[in-house]
Order: sequence, then structure tokens, then C-alpha cells
Amino acid sequence: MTVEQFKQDILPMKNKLFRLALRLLKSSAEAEDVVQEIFLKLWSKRETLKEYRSIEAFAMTMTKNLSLDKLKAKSAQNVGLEFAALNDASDNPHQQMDTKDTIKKVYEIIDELPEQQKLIIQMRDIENCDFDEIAEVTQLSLNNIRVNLSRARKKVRDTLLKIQNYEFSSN
Amino acid sequence: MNSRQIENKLERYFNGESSLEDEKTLREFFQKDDIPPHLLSLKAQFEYFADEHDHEYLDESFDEKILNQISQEEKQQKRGSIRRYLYTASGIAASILIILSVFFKFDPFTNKVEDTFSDPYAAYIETRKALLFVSETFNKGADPIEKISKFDDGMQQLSKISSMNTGITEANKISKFHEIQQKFLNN
Repeated sequence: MTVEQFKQDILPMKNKLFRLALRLLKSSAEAEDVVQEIFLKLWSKRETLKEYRSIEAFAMTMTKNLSLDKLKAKSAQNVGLEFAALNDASDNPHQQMDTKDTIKKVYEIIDELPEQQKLIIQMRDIENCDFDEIAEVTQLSLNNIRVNLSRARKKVRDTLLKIQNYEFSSN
Repeated sequence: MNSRQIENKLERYFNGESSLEDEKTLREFFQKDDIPPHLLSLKAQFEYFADEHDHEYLDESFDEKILNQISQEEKQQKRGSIRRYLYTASGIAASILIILSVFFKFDPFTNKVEDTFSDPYAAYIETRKALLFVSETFNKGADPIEKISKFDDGMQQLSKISSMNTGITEANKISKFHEIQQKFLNN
């Protein structure tokens, strides 16, 4: 694989991988570090990449694993400041939420989901991956993926509904 | 797409049974403005997914960064492989030298002197030069040895000791006195 081919076939995955890393790490700087590391790994494996059924699933699996490793290292250091900062900015019950705020709220709801559900809803509803790809990355059965996806989607729906009902009743 | 079809797809969606095609239809439906009020609460959910899907966090500068790192890594690898090539080449050269020296019975420890001159006259001149040089330096070294002649002078002084001999022979006569004394005592 030449540099030109790498630029054309592999590098365009950057935002997909970044969004996944960002979902898990919640830090742009760290997510970028992860994605950078993944691309250098992919480059060093460029001659064997064709052996994988889906390079994208392979890259996403590496991104997921590296992000979770970093997350583990981070939680060992007990750093939760970025997370706290995100929650502070949004909660203001005296002001009616506009659409933009509500959309932002969805991010926070997904952020609160269990790791497995977070990963699956990210891959399916945002990245539009097929179930085979999700199975490869999560190592879960098709049925298990469907159950987790259903729970995650309903959780987002129900939480949004609760927030909006609260908005209506308080006005 | 009528409202019933949408609700059908929504039900499948929340059960985790919708296809990618269904989900695309739903996202497109919620992008519109005329959403029935009872579905309005779902708008944010689908809008968020669509927004986030198109959110490009990394731009061209990221590509450049990666490609730079890759080309740097390639350069380093190339430099490493040249070094490795030199190591192998010099190793092979050394082995060939050893094998050849065995083959030609070359022994560096009993190196025979070989003729360096083809013209015997030139060789004679050189040899004479060398020998002259040796004798000259040898003479220089011999100079201090002349001082040894002084040792001779000292020896001449010592010859006077020989006169002591005459004295001693005179003294021998005393032994005769001793003999006579013994004879006298015996009688």
C-alpha cells in the first residue's frame, strides 16, 4: 500500500474513529491522540490489512480498545473534571430549552448510558454500521446487540420526554 | 410517507429491529418541519444523530500530520536498513577475506621478508646506507667507553702494592726464628 492509497482509503475514516474515541473518552485532545496512534498502527500493518474482512471494523475495534484502555488509566488517576464541566453548563430549569439545547441534551443522555449501550448506539444510530460490524467490534451476539440497542434508544426517548414534560409543566 | 408507516418504523426502531433503510427514512422524516405533535419529542433524538454523523471534527491538517509522521518513520526505517546492509556487507567481506587467506595459506604471524628491490645495485646502496647509519650510531655509543682507560691509570697505582711483597718475604724470616725456638724448647 502506497502513501497515496493510504490517504485515499484509510485516512477518510478519521472522523468516524474520532467520534467513537470522543464518545468514550469525552476529551477531544485524548480522542485525537488515540486516532493518531490508530492510523500509525494501521500504516505499520498496511501490507496485511487486506486480510481483514472489514478494515473499518478492524480500525473501530482498535479505537474502542485503545480508548477503553486510556479510560481505565484515567479513572485510576481519578480525573472527572471534564465530565463535571459538561453537566454544569446545561441545567437551567427556568429557561425553556430550544431545539439546540435539546439536541445537546441527547449527547448527555447517551453519555450516561452503560458503556456497551453507548458503543452500540454510537455505531448504529450515528455511524450507521450494520450488525455484522457491530458484532465484530463489541463481540456480542446479534440478539444481545438488538436488546442493548433497544434499551439505549428507549432510554434516550424516555429521558427527553421527561425533560420536555417538566418544561411544559413548569411553564 | 404517511404517519402510520412512520409509526410502524418507529416501533421497530425502538425494539432494535429496524433496518438501516428504515432508520434513514426516520432521520429524514424528523428533519422536516411539519412533524405531528405527538412525535415532536422524538425530533431532537433523530436530529442529534444526523448532526453528529456529519460532524467533522478533524480536517485536512490532521491528514498532513499523519502523513508527515508516516514519511518520517519511513525515512528512519530506510536509514536503519542502509545501516543493516552495511553491517551485512562488511561481515561478508570479512568472511571472504578469512576464507581466501586460508585458501592461499596466508599466515600473518610468520610473515617472510620479501625483496623490495628489483635492481641489485640499488639494494646494495640502500644496505650500505643502513649499515653506515648503524655504525655511526654505534660509534656515538662507543665514545663514553673511552673513559674506561682511566681505569688503567688506577691499576698502575695499584702496582705499587707489589713492593709490599718484598716486605712480606723479609717477614718470612721471622718464621725461621720460630723454628729455632721450637728446636730449643724440644731439647
